[in-house]
Amino acid sequence: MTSPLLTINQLDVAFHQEGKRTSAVRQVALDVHHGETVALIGESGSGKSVTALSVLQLLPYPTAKHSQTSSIQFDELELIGASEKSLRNIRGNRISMIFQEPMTSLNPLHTVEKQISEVLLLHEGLSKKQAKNRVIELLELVKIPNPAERLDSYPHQLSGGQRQRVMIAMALANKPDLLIADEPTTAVDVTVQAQLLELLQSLQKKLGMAILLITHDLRVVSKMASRVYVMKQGEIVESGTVEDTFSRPRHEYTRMLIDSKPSGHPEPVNAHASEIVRVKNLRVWFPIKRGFFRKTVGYIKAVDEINFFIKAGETLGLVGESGSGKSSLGMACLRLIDSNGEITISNRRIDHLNQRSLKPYRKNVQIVFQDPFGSLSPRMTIGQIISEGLVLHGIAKTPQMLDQIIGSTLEEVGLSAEMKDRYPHEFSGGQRQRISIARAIVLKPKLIVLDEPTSALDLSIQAQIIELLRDLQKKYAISYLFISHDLNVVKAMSHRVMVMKDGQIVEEGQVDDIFDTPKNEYTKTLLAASVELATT
Amino acid sequence: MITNPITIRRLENFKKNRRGYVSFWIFLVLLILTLPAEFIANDKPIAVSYQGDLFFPIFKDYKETEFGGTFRTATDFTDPFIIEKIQNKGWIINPLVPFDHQTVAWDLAMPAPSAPDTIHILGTDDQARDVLARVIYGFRISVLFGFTLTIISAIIGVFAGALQGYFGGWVDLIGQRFIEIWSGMPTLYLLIILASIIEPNFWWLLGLLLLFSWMGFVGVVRAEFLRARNFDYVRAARALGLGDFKIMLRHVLPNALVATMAFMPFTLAGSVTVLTSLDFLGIGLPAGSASLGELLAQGKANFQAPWLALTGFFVIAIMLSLLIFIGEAVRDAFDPRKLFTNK
Repeated sequence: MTSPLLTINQLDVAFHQEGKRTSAVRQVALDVHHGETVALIGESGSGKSVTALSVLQLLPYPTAKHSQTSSIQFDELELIGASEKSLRNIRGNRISMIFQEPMTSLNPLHTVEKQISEVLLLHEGLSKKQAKNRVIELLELVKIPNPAERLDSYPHQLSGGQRQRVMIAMALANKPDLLIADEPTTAVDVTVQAQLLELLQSLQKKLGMAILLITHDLRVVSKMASRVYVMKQGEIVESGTVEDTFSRPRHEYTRMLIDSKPSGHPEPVNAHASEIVRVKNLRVWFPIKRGFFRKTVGYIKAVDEINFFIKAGETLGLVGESGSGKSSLGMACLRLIDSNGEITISNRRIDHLNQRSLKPYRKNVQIVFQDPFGSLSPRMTIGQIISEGLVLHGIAKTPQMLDQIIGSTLEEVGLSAEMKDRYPHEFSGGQRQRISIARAIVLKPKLIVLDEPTSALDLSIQAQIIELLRDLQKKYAISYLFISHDLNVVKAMSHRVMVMKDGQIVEEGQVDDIFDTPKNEYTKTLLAASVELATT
Repeated sequence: MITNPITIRRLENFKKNRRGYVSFWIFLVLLILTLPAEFIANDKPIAVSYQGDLFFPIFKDYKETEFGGTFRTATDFTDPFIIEKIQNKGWIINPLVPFDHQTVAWDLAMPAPSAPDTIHILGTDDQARDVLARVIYGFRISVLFGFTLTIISAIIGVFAGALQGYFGGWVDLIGQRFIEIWSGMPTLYLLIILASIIEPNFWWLLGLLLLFSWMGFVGVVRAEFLRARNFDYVRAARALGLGDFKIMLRHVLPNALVATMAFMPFTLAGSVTVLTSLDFLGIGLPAGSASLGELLAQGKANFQAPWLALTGFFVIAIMLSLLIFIGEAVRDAFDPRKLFTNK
């Protein structure tokens, strides 16, 4: 066997800030051989990205420090302590990197041509004309349709998947020996994810480069990588071939990662359960305005003539890719955006009420959002956040009663009553999501709209939140409208499923029917994309 | 006394900024000393005992005849004749600086402006008035003017910015266009025109500057409201059934206040500077009032008396620096990242 392309030995990274030392990575050792795909997995905060960034020496030095023994050798060249000039020769040339968020990693003011040719002009010294031809070649390579026409597009004119392809084209422009991919498919839809991974695989074969893949998604690992390193709190706890590691995990953390796939089923709905929600011919149309007088020339039909009902204690899953109108539908049910059509909640039409007369019915429908960091007011204590609705609707009459309700609700969602005086910053993503749930259930609503409540969380936490939501449903017979793009989670949560595409429902039915015998073509594609990832 | 944990942590953060914390105490001491300026620098004694009776000339005028003088007019306590009369049969407690800002020292050994000596610690200006007394009164009026202007413009600016940012659409469009036109008005010319019609006083200047200074706050507050109105927690609050004004007050305003707080020390320092420069140009406070700008103007006119310019310069420079340092500490105290990372 030849010597490895990249060897990391005893890597330590610590951050020094205001006299405090926080160790982020401890004694990490890993190697990547030519043409091989190695995965680095772990939950958020485990030090994966810090390890990757230290390969390119892109950490915020001197705040970040490596220890004396740390060593990163790339093709027999020591990268730690290498001169800025030799590092620049390696970055983007022999080692490239792609990031998770394609919107922020592309410069919004540069065209596609300018973004990609920058690397070419810098490292290969091509003329403008040569560079242009090479850019077209590269865009063809990453399978962007009509590459010549796309040259003058700006990032916002591309879809998420196309942006990620442009990122890949940029990374591959100088035929690197090593590609570091930091969560390359986390921000895109499942169908796009499958295509992108396929593309990466075929490119790897064509160009013979090595890939260091950083991800928290085990399905991606089993599809792509040959060897895997498992990272936990800055240390590598297990490594080996993907097959060995996944079939016979030695470390309990690895076992937990593998087992934490969302599973199980919700409690069956009571056969005599009454209908809580009925929505008839719901429409959310956004007008397109043109010209000097802003005349309405057409509509974007975000939600178009949708009908559904939910019974007490039932979960209706709503599946679809981004931009399909799922969130608009959820918000319309809460009357947070303007809509047309009938919305009946607990036998009461709420669609024609104005905001003032709607207030007494507000407590019946609550919402939990995706982003655990944006959904809690950063300047209010947990107690204040939860008590707001109680006070508004006059549920708690006395301060003692208020305290008691807040305490018991916090305990109900798996937190402790003493936390009520703390602020959202002091909690982790999973805990914050529990707080959001507490804010919703404290009003004893009939329906909760769950807008991707688990997508921003680590797998093991996802499973816990799903467990919590199912328990609460069992206890209070709450109905859920569960919006998600993650089919595994939907399967574990829902009784019935609706599949949404371009504002319309393309298929709906019992969860097992949809997953086992999908009838619609689009449903089949969605399922295929996620199943393909699940099996190697 | 203070039980709210966040308030305690904010105070700790405020103290952690040593420079700002020290500045705060220095400024506080200066403010406490100068607020009762009449008791610190005055040509009337605080208390007089004469023939066993107590008199408080600082509050009330007494006829000279009451102290054995000859005139039936108000007593001039700087008159050596009167001083001698009283001290024979009682005592006098004078303020620390025995001159008012308008007291003219008739007994100078050299022509005014006179250099610093033991009687006039910072010398006198070209009208033979004690510079220290004028600095004390000038500092007070500058700070009071600055605070009043800043607080009122912050209230108006935050209100206007909040409405525009939260409601957006036509409200925002009309508000923004109005501000664009309004900010094009030449403030200085308006002041000069005003000065030629009436004699501007504290309130006139305040009102006129207020017409324009509130716009500085609108931008930051509006941007914060525009950003925050689509936040999930604002949506969640609407889902709870909270009204628009309550949402603005409880969920969005606290965020916008940090930006306002960060902006305030600059507006405060700016207001002080504006008042000083108007006085320097001679279109500010009425003639004869103690003002730092007027002191600077005198310094410029009297280069042979450098204590005027130097005093003016140091007082203004120190005051503005203290305000900025305090402002930085206040900003640190409200910074949520600083609030939670350095536990």
